Amino acid sequence: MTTMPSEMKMKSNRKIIVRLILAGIVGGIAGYFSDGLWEAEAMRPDQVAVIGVGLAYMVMGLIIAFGLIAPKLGSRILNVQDSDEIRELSRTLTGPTIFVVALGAALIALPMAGPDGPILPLAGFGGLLAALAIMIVISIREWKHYDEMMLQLNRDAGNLAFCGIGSVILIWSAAAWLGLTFAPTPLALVAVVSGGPLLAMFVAIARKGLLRPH
Amino acid sequence: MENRLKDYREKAGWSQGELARRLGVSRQTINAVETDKYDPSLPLAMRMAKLFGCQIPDIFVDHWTAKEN
Repeated sequence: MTTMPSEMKMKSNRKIIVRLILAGIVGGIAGYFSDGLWEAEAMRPDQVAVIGVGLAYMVMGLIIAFGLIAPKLGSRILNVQDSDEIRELSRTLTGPTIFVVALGAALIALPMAGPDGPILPLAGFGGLLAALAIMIVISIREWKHYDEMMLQLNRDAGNLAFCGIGSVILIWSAAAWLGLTFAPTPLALVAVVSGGPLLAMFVAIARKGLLRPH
Repeated sequence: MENRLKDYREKAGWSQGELARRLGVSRQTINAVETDKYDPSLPLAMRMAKLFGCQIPDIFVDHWTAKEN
């Protein structure tokens, strides 16, 4: 068994602290806005849930985008060994980052679109379709550049997402049919279906121990 | 499974990035293999063995033993 040299340990601890501070700031800002929406009763819980999922995608995408633009600073936040690793990964990360930001923006806009909302229904729907089109094009283009570990992580996350989302919808719908709870609304389904894959990817990465700092 | 990939790589004087380039995988994959977070596929393990001029069991040591019936 190998032990981590003290310099690497310090670097790894610093990384954890930077990430915790960043998570605290992002969580604080998100909490401030969602509390405001909640207290003002301007939005229903399912609308807030979809916006929350959209914010998660958006923040994640922007952090990775920041890392790609400024690899030296990005290496302190992202789970990489050094800035060179970000440069090596830039080709495979750029496309998914664009998709993640686009999906985040579309999910934030969707609950605000509607007859009474500030965004036109067709604009909200079109935004979501555009984000999905970007995902399909990028996935087809990037798939051949993935190496075997990346492919396995994607397969694991896909399986977890399928089982997790399926279970939630099955149990919730069955319970609602039996009168045990309220029925899932269309936006609640959007939140589950769009948030599930993100959660599944984190679980798949964590199960491999890849979230531990270098 | 115990693996000696890091020893072989360092003996060859290669960085993780250099080995990744030679094997056609990402540096993250090499790092994950060296730190026992990821077991490579058989084709990748074979490429590693060929690259270092050894056998797969020289790099990946499995202490499993068959049970006697």
